[in-house]
Amino acid sequence: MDTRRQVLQGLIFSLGGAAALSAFDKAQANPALAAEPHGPGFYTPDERALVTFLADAIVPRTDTPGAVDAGVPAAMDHLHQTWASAKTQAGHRAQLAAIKAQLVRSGGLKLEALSELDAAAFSQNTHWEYRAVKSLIATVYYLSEPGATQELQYEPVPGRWIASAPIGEIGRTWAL
Amino acid sequence: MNNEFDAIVIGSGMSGGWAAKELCEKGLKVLVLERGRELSVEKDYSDMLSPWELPNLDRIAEDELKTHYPMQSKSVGYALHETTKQFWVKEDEQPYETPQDAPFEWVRGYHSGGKSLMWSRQSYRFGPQDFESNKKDGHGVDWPIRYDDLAPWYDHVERFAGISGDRDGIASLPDGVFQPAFELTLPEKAFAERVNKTFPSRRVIAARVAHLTAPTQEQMDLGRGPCQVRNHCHRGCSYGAYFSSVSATLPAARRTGNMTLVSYAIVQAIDYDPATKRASGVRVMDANTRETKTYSARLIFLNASTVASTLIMLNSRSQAFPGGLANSSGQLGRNLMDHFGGAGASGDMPEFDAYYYAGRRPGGIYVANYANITEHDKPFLRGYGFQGSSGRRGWTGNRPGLGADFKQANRTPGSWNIGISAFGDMLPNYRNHIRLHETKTDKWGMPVAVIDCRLGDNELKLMQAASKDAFDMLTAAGCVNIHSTEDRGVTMESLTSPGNKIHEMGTARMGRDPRTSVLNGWCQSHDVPNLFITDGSCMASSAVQNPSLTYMALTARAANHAAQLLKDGVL
Repeated sequence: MDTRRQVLQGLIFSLGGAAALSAFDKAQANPALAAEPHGPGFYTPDERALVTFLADAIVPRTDTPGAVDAGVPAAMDHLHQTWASAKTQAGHRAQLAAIKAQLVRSGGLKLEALSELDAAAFSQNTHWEYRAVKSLIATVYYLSEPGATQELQYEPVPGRWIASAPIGEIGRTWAL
Repeated sequence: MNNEFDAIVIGSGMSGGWAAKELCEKGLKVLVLERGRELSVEKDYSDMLSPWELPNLDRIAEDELKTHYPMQSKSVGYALHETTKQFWVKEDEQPYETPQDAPFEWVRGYHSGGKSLMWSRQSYRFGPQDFESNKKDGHGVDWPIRYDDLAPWYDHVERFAGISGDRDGIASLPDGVFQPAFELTLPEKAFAERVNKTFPSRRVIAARVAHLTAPTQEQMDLGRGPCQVRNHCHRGCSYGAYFSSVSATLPAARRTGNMTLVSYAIVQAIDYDPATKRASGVRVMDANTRETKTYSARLIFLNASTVASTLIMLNSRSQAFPGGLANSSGQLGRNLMDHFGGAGASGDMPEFDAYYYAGRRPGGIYVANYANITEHDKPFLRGYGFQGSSGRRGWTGNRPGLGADFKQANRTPGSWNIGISAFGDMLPNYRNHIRLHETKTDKWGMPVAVIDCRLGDNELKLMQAASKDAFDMLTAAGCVNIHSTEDRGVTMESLTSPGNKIHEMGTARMGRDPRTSVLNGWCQSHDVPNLFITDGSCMASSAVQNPSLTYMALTARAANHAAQLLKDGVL
């Protein structure tokens, strides 16, 4: 974090936006903004185990961190505890229950069963409960620090606009 | 505090900031009344946070969203987030009414800088034809000014605000004082060329946006720096790179030493003295303490935003003006307009997939209006412009695959996609109005607004044509997988509601004749010469261009004229 902070401060000084500095200090000083979720969770142990299985299977650790490394299950728990309405909470639990039932029918929380479900969901345009949860896992992962900065790329302060360049010169998908 | 000032400016937003700056720089002691709190860059801006530092993906808790922002969650959902919610008015706390079948999306920002903090920064001059359209087709009243009257003031405000754009040489969308534009992407360049080849009268240009790309010394002296291409604008910009009252006009006013800004000052009415025939004072209630107070000054600028300024005027009743201050014409509150949409198209251009971009550009492309300007075969009056942009789809969870394959697939962006959506010119119409509720008041005792505004047959025909044009232009550009409003057709029900474009205007219109208009060619009340109104309410027609730049130019022009009248002893 110190490196990024120094880089940012250097940029800000060179560009003359003095007000930016104090705002950045404020962001850094507020631990709540980046805090890990804590306290009693939203998920039951079974649900948490399912979400962890899904996150790890969909986005495993490879040459970059995976969804579990990035704290995706915990962030999803926090999201549903603090953001979701009762209706959304119930809907999410129902999604998880449907996914669980589907997996159990094909042999349990195993990669083979999930592969089958994933293939069916996209080839037959069904299993929307699975597709919704998969999308959420992807969203939370790619906007996490490891997902955005190690798996993909993210520039906090691009500082310039390159309208179009050969993709090899730009690199991977932008996280944002 | 001394309650005597040379001038009072009601509102500190897009136009109020300009009134304050210009009047202060002319040496007047100016009181700025702001109904909300004073924003602080340090406390209120969240633009330095990275995506993973935003709580809950920056989503506002669903119950909170439903309670406080039910309408805005739809109309400004793109900018209404957990870290920006402080900029948007809680709807349940600031009610207004509309007919059940005619919603009006009244979007508000009650804090220093007003909506200039949250605007989308598109900045276009009106063209000569826009000041002549009312006269030509007989809707509304003739503008009392022409393009040439305003042109030097466009120069003036562009030079200070900082507008990036290309010199495109389009007579109906005049060039201005520009800083370098953000370059078009390859698909946008191809789109522009191909559209122009098929439709020679149509021009696709770089969006003109109020972002510094080559700041002047004057801009840097105000603490503003160049745009960092982050596109976090709706969280505020700590670099002051986009124009707002907070980044530009209020600091300029403040450095003169002539400005006093009072926060939490809700203006309830403007007093009128029948003996002098002048506005004599501004009645204010403190939003927190409910303490009331009257401020007086020789000159009053009303810049509270269209609906709010109109409410203040309607609520300023006296024996001389029983229907609201300066309303001898009966036009106050009438002729409400907004731009409207509901037509657009998007499509893919995979032929450019060997290319990608870097940076998050805060603008895109613009298609200048050609309807009834260079193309005259239209079954409707007036026209439309299009805003658009291109980009490549990013990562998605909505794709098959698991594990390393899934990750690998997301490392390459999806195809280029380009889209445009229309902004239509709404005819001025007496029936579209704002009035005071007869019984209901807000928590400060002010009658709440009743807004009754409907789109008509011309608007429908216009947007149906825009929809067809959007599809045709995407097709001409060689796009594939085109989705457009032609798929389902454009109907009255599918048009955006008035208010949705946040360009509400027209309820204290300028005109030549005091019997049919509220303001003269200087945005000065026909009836009450020391009262000027220079927010959107002064507009005689809407044109198709985003109007903020025109509000700025009209305000600067009016303020300099008013200061001269004071100096000459006329006021």
